[in-house]
Order: sequence, then structure tokens, then C-alpha cells
Amino acid sequence: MFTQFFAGISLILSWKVWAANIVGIIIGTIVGAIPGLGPVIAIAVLIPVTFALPTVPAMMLLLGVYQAGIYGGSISAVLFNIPGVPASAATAFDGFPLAQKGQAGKALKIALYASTFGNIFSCLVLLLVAAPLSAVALRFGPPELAALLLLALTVISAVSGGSMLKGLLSGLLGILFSTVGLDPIWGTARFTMGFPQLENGLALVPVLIGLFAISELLIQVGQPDPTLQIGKNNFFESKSTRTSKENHVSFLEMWRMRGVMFYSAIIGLLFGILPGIGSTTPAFISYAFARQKSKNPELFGKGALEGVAAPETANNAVTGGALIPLLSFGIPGDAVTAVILGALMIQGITPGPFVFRDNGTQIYALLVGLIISTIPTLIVGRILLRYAVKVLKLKRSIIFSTVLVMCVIGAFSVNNSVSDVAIMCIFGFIGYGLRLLDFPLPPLLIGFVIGKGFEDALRQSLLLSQGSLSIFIKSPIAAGFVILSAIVLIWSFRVSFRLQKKN
Amino acid sequence: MEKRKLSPSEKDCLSAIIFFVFGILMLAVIIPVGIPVGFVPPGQISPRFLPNFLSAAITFVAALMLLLHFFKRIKSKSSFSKSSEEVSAGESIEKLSDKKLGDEKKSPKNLKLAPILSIIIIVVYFLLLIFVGFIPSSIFAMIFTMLMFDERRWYVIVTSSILIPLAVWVFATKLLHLPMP
Repeated sequence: MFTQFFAGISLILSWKVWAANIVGIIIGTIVGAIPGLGPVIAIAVLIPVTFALPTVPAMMLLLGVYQAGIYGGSISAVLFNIPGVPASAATAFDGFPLAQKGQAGKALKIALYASTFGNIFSCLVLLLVAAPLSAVALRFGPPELAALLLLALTVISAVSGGSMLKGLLSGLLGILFSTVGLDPIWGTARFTMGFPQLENGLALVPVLIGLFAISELLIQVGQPDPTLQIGKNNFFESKSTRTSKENHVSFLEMWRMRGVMFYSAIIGLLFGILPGIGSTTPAFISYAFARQKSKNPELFGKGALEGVAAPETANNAVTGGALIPLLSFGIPGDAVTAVILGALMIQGITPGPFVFRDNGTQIYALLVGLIISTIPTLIVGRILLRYAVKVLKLKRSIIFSTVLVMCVIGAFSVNNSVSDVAIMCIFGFIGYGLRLLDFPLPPLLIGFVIGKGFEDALRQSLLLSQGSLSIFIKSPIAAGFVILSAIVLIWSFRVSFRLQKKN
Repeated sequence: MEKRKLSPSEKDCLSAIIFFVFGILMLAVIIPVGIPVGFVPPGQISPRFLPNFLSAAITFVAALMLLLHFFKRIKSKSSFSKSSEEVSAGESIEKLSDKKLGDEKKSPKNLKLAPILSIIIIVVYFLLLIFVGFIPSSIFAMIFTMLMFDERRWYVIVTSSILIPLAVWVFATKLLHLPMP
């Protein structure tokens, strides 16, 4: 382990790694600030760029986007009350009133420092926890793995936001899409309709670009431009960037918020570990918690500094938390980690129990790199404050038409196949339809990503037991996971019934 | 006439119907046609096992959603004694407040048509990509997507739709060495 750790550190001692990371941070901050775009779309579109790079710089580029993306969302939330990403919505509650008081610079600096703290905290926990958890997962056989994936799928569907039954349908649909291609045991073609391109199954990148980027384009084109009010609030720009006493953040001010930031980081980390929740819920929970614990709760909503620090710490602490189940079990915690999983697999790294054994050096390089990259995030974040505002004024027409062209390249370049572009378009239309009907998309994507592994483990277990389901009860670990899945399912149905009754 | 937006309850009902029909279609037509059974030794799992299980689960959950929707409707009809006048008054107030908020300005007719037209643009873009290649098809897609987003400045449309695909092409082929369609 220590050999891999130090070998990993030697891998990140390269200018290419940090150049890629800084580019990722710049892209992440800008894309995060633009409403409608976000880290998922940016990472998906950037995947072709990683083909030309070695593994560590390629992944540091994408992880830079991931880390900076959520902070970027707070820029538009604070300055214009328009969250760039949904996770920054809670930041606007107090960030925007601060901006109205002429303290936009202060709010943005607190958001940046709190984001950095959340990132460092969760990445340190990730570094300490991922390898031991992975070692535990190494002892899992097919029944335990199938039961664990079943539990993950159930949790994702139940807690993904909105209607739980819709989350469940979305997750089931995702697993169903993962069955396209050759059957893992008998090699029978399933739903290929005679197209040999479909025999290897649906490629992840076109599916996710379609689901998230194309559907977002179709949603945005049908909505009025949210950034139109930027022109009206233009006076914030000068106040946010100018260096004045009222926009200065002292160490003492941050130190006073250490408690708020600490428990917000724990909330973000724990919610990040739970698959399917994402970073929006922990941001709101930590905001409510900070308000409850505050000596001056009446200041919340009027420009309380803790009201900015708490959600920003929590939504950034999700980053490391969501990477824990991804690296240890191969289960992505949210849509962004599902995209990162795809990128890692393209680089020849399969997250899961064997990842530290087979690619330990590269994984340690990424984990240490993630912690160190908080320094460039801090520096670049401060420099970019004034320029991100200018990018926000870019017309949606140029942004989304460019995104469409980039999407086509992203989908095409995975297998150099036009059929992948067709898959991207089809999934774009499916995603758009589902979003119109208020279906959450992350369960579909995560179901699609882990569906194949689930089927493999399930079929292998049933082969071992000659078709008997008792194999899932004989193993105490598998039985525990199955019971937990049943509890989650029953609980989600009960909550659904109660909500219907209440309504 | 302006189209009314679907309420969450109506969306639930529509989703349940779509998924219920989809599940039944999967079980009755798509799986039997799309997955040949072939030879499966006795006691072994068929390739149709998981798709069948998932489709049955989708049908079950959709049926449950539909039942919950009807249960809710029946309950609200019997317990909620809201007169039709009150309803219409409530609705008209809602409409009035909507008008006051200036929603008419926010959702003009072209905003409703734009997603459908954009779907057509994407389909045509894909077809052009096969027949004429990346740059001409991307120029087409960019021009029409910009028009969909209400860009009316011709010099912006012309310069961006030519320069951006060219820049992307140069970046992808010369720097990343990616083959292009």
C-alpha cells in the first residue's frame, strides 16, 4: 500500500498533471456559473480530450471540473440569484442579500473558502477510507456483490428526489437499457435488432451525453433566458470585484464559522456516500442545520455569513463522499461520478474491489492530487471571480449551439461510430420526455452503469446455486443487504402512500 | 388557444400509463421478438430472465402509481366539497396572478414550438453528418440552433456558425488526433 502511495505521489510531480488540472478548474468554474450547464455536461463533453492524455492528467482534468463546478454555481447564485447548478440554490438565500448590500465579494470569497474546506475534508476521508473498504469488498463473492448492487439501486431509486415511484421506474429503466447487447452467459443477442454495433451494448458516453446535455438543450430552448435579468443587476459586478474593506474576509471570520463548516462537511460527506442523493439535498440540510444552531437565526435569509458557508461546504464535501462508493464498490454516488466512472473505464481503470490492487498507483495519485488541487482551485477561483461574471453574459444561443457540436464529437469519438451519435440523439429525446414528466435522471444513469455488473453477479450466483435464490440467504452479508433493500423499498412505498394521503 | 400545463398529478397519471403500456409491450412483444431463447440447459437462467423481471417490475410499479392516482382522485372528490364556482373563481384568480407576473411574456408561442423544432434540427444534423460530414452539418446545426435561441444578429450567426465548427474540427483532428465523421 505504501509503495503504491509513494509511487502515486511521484506520478503527480509533473507539470502536465497540474496544467490539466488548472484547465479543468477554469472550465469547471465557468461552466458551473452558467445556468443550465454543469459539471455533468462539461465532463461528458470533455471525455474525448482525455483520449490524448495519459491517465493521471486526463483524470485530473475531469476531477478539476468536478471540484470547481459546484463552486462556479455559487457565483451566479450570489451575484444574480440564479444558481448555476441546483446544488448552489441554498447559497443564494444569503449570498444574494449580501450582494445586495454591496458585499458580493465577501460572499463569493466565503463560498470559495468554504468550498475548499469541504473539498479537503471529504478528500482526506476518501483517502483514508476508500482502500480499507475496497479490501472488505474484495472478500465479496457474486451473491454478496449482487445483493450490494441491489441495495445501491434501491437506495438510489428511493432517495433521488421527487416521487419515489418515479425514481424506482427510472432506475428499473436504466437497468433494462443495460441489458441491450450480448447476454453475459450464453452470448445471445438481446434487443440488437440485427445491428452488430449494439452487440457490445449501449456505450456509456453517448447515453449520458444524450440524457443530460441534449435533454438540457431541449429544456433550455423552451424556456426564457434566466440570465436576462443580469443586465438589470449589473451594478453588482463592480461591487463584487472591487477590493474594499467590506468585501474583505478575515481569518477570524472564517475561524468563527469552523463549527458550521465542520458539521456541514460531515453532512455533505455522509450524503455523498449514500448513492443517488447528489449535492443539492445536503446543501439545504446543512443550511437548515446552521440556522437552527445559530445564535442569530433571524439573520438567515438577510445575508448571514454562515448561510453561505454551510451549503457551500456541504455541497463540495459531497465530492469526496461520492467517490468512496465509486472507488471501493464501483457504485457511482451521483450523475457526475457515473460520468467519471465512464472516463476511468475508458482509461482502462475499472473502479470496484480490485481497483487498488490493479491500479493502486494511479488511484493514489488521483486521491493525493485531489487534495493538493484545492490550492489551484483557491487561486484560480479568486482570479476567475471577475471573468466568470463576463462569461455569464455570453448568449445562450452561442453556448448551447456549441454544446450541441461538442456533444456530437463526444459521442462519435468513443468508438468512432456514427451509430453512437444516433444513440446520443435517441437518449436525448428519452431524457427530455422523462424530464417533462418530472422523472429524475440520475437513477436511470446509475441503473444503466451498474446494471451490467448487477446482472453478471446475479447470473453467476444463480449458476453457482443452480437457479436457487437461497444463495442470497445462505451468505449472511448478502442476506443483510437483501433485508436492507427490502426495508428501503417498503419505507419508500410507505412514504409514497403517506404523501399521496397527505395531498 | 394557449395550451394548459399539466399538473403534477396529471403528469403522474400520464407517466404511469406510458410505463404500464411500455411494460406490457416489453413482456408481450419486444422481449419475445428481441431475445431469441436458443438452447438453455435445464435449471439454468434464460437470457430473457432479467429483462422479463425488470419489465414485470416496471408494469407493477406503474400499476401501483395508477392505483394511487385514482385512489387520490376518488378521495379528493368525496371529501373535498369545493363548489364549481369556487373552483372557477380560484382558477381565474390563478390565471390573473399568472398574468400579473408576466408569464405571457416569458412563454411566447415560439418557446413552446422551439423544443419540437430543435428535435427536428438534431435529427437533420445527424442525417447530414452521415452524408456531408462534420463541418457542413455542424454549420447547419449551429445556424438553426442559434435561431431557436432567438439569436437574430446575422453577423453573430454567420461568424459563430462557421468559426466554431472549424475551430472544433482543428482542435479535434490536429491536437487530439481524433478521426471525424
